[in-house]
Amino acid sequence: MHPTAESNEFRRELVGLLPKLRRFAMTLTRNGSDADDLVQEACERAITRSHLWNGEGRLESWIYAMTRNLWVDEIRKRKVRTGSGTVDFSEQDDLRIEASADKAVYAKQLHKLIMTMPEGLSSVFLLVNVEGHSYREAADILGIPIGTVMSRLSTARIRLAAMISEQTERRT
Amino acid sequence: MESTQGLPLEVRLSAYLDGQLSHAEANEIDGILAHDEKARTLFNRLKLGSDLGRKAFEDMLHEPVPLDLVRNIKLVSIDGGQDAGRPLPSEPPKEVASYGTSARLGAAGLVLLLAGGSAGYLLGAQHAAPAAPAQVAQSRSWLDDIADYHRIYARQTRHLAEVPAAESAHIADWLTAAVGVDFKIPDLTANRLSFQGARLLVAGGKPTAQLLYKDDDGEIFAVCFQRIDPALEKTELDDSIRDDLGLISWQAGTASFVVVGPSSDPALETIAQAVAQTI
Repeated sequence: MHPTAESNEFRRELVGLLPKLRRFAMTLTRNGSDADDLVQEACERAITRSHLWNGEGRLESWIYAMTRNLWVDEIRKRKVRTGSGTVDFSEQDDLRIEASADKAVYAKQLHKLIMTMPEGLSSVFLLVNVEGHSYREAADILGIPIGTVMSRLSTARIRLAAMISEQTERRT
Repeated sequence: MESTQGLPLEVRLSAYLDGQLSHAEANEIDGILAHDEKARTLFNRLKLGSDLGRKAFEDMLHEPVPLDLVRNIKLVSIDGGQDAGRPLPSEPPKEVASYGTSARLGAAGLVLLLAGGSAGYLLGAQHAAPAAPAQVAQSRSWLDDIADYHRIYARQTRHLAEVPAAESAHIADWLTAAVGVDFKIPDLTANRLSFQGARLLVAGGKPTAQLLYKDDDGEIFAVCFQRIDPALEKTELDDSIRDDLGLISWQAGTASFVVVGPSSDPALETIAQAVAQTI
């Protein structure tokens, strides 16, 4: 069966969204390989259900919610509780951000920091602080109450700030 | 607007930072910040964390997207699974796979399908050896030749074309006579493609015209066509992939056409549509 013009347009939009979809998936999986698998699964599901997309709002929000649901199912299947397998943020000595490091090292440290933040914090932070979703939109995408969005967001910000300020204090 | 009354100060300040508070609550926070130094320190830490995290996430957008993801988006059929419409001699049955395996299977879909085809050939060879070479020969089409040529010529930066674009009038006369297809060189500048020149190839055993284009990033695209028995009517655009190359082909009048370019380029079909309308 040949894809219709409408289907092709949808696919083109998906391709354009891939960097953002991968980034969102990273906040859920904190693992590049799992993130790519998750994005692929989400895109496949989005294409087969593209007739359900009403064109209102952001397409990525619709797919983000799909991605999050797929990941919850996957976690359930793996019988892994959310956040397990990662070391507590405060215990990680090597995650300090070196403000004076060269650009490449600094970027690598920042990336590592994001990948090791607890899933509940980094997803909320990405949606609200980086992509400008409202609290309500973030809550809908992640399937959590708005109050949880607010508390996770403030916790994420404080933890991120601690990473760089503690390093600065240690140097002085 | 959300109410943060009764919530911890850092949560209220965080919501204030996002502009998610009502006018009355925002005024209240203004007052707290004006008189409470600890609150100001906490607010500055929240802002610092915001800026740091935003930078980290923005950098993540610049990471290269795996080509497999792009390809599989193009290959997923609308009714689920990978598009099975590729001309393969022996196709393994579809299986329902769980997440974690299905995604990897999808990424390796073409490889598995080709492996299935090869395995079918090898198994068949034990029982019906004479038929196998014919199957293999039939599985190659003029599009496979086009893809092979493209991989070679797209890398010839100094000798990309046999006849340069400056001789467009000659190219039209020459290839019309050699291939037996009347055509106009498509102007694809609206698609950010500049005409580079042309070559005469042999694809599927027939003389074939190859018109070469380059985009702003230096990627090479080609429009190829050859004469066929008259088609009853213009066919739909057919999208197929050969590893790193995407090919969109169709038939119209007395010619088969194909546009070839990087499979990762989502604009390939738009380019093919422009060619189909103007050539």
